[in-house]
Amino acid sequence: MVNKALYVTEMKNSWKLLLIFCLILTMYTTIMLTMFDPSLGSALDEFAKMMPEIMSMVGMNGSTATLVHFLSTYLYGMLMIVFPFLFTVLLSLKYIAKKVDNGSMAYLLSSGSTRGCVWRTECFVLLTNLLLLIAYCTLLGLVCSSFMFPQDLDVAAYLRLNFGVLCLHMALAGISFLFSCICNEYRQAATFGAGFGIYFILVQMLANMKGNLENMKYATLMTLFDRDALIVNAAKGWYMSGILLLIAIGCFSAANVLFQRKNMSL
Amino acid sequence: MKAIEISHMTCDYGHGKGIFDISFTIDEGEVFGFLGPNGAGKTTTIRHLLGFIFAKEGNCSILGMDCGKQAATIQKKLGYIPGEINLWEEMSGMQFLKFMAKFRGMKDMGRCEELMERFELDPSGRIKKMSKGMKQKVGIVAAFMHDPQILILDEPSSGLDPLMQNVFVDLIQEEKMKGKSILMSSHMFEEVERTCDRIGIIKDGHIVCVEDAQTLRQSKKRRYQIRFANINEVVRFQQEGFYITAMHKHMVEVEIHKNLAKLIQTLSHYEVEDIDVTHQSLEEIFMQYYGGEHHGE
Repeated sequence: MVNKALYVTEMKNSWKLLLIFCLILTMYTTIMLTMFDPSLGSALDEFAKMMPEIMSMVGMNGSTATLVHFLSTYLYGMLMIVFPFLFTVLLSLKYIAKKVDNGSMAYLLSSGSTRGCVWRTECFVLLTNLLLLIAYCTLLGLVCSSFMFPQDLDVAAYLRLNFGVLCLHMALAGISFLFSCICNEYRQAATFGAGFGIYFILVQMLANMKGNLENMKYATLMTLFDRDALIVNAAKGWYMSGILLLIAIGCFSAANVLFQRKNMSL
Repeated sequence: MKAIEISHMTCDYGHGKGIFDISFTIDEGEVFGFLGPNGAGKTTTIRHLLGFIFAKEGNCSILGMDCGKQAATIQKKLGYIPGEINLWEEMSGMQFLKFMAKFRGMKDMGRCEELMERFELDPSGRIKKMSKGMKQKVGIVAAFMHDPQILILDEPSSGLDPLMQNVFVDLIQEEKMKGKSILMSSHMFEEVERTCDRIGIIKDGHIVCVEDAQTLRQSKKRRYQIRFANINEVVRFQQEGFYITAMHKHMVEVEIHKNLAKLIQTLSHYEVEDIDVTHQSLEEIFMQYYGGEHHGE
């Protein structure tokens, strides 16, 4: 099923990266939270008034009436998309493409484990890491807001928001892992694996500018992470998350099949 | 049942690169030398055996199991040294060996420790900082530590110093005594002739010959470079009737087939400054092999 020794070793090899990303997101989350002021509106609203285009480009133009809306606008508009995305791209490249490129995969595939087993193990390590990062951020948000603004956070809405962001990152991780499994060269895998995600983020930024560019939202995966729908618990938010999960499942399945069939110069 | 069986395997990379219609077998308990110049297709053949590449035409099997479909089952009984040792750089040598043992589900590290001692390997350092020879030693230990029945070794002694090469040759001979089947690739005849029972030569993707090591060794002619003290000696030596292949100033190269004793006797009457053996290229060896056969020498 899964090779335990490999799983443990990979987790040990990745904890530093996980820690770094946790720290980065801790910093942003706490800084953002200090700017929230339930009575006066937030200091960030002033920015939004001064430079509306830039703030809306990075997704920070939504409602900031409640704490969950505030977090949704200032954290889940861009920061919680970009950083976990970078994290999963780095990991998915490291787990397959880098090993095939530098030849160390030869040891894993010549020691009595099937390709399927090696693939599943690496895939589980990737998903575990992603889950840990999102779970940590969720917990951090909960703990910080309960200290700083007790009773202000709509916990259920906040959890739905994090579920949505998890689905989005599963889909993005699926795409980068797919290319990590297809390409025999690290550079190629990095170009396509990261390229798609970067393209989606850039298109979303343009779509956020509204006006003529708004229709570009149909050309990016990020649109399927509908923050407002998730906060108000609308069906749309759930089925869009479902589509993201289906994309993730599709990518991972394709990655599995292609990895088992490909020829490798090891 | 054959230990390794390859029949009519072809893998065309285009531009004349790849392997074409390769067939040979290795018996159980046999040491097979797989010789060929760089880029001849040795590693490509080995990749098929390990299941890294699937055969488009022809097939290969180990212990009766298909190399593409049953790779994992085969590998439980197989030890492999890759042509390029690429260990996990972020680990120390010991961490890597322990990881490989756990990955294989091994419990007993006795053989591993014995091998480390034999090769005087101190695996505590980080792999990234290791020299090529050190990494090669780690690779050797990783391939032999689970006492596999079949060994596939791609240029196994590259990077080892002559002393360690001898240790390695001893190890191969020991494994052979235990009845292991070994495929060992190399681009040097000298490396395989010490250990192998049979030798297959591959060139430009085609098997040129598969022959008993003994037969090849006998057909091999040796060349010696002799440096004489002065030009008069050289002129005198030319009258002796040896087959001279090259001359340069006081240096004469002669080719000897079986009459080495005669050369030594003759040279004792000359003022000789130096004498050296010239290593022949593989091409020359099998050209001689074929030449010998055709002329009925």
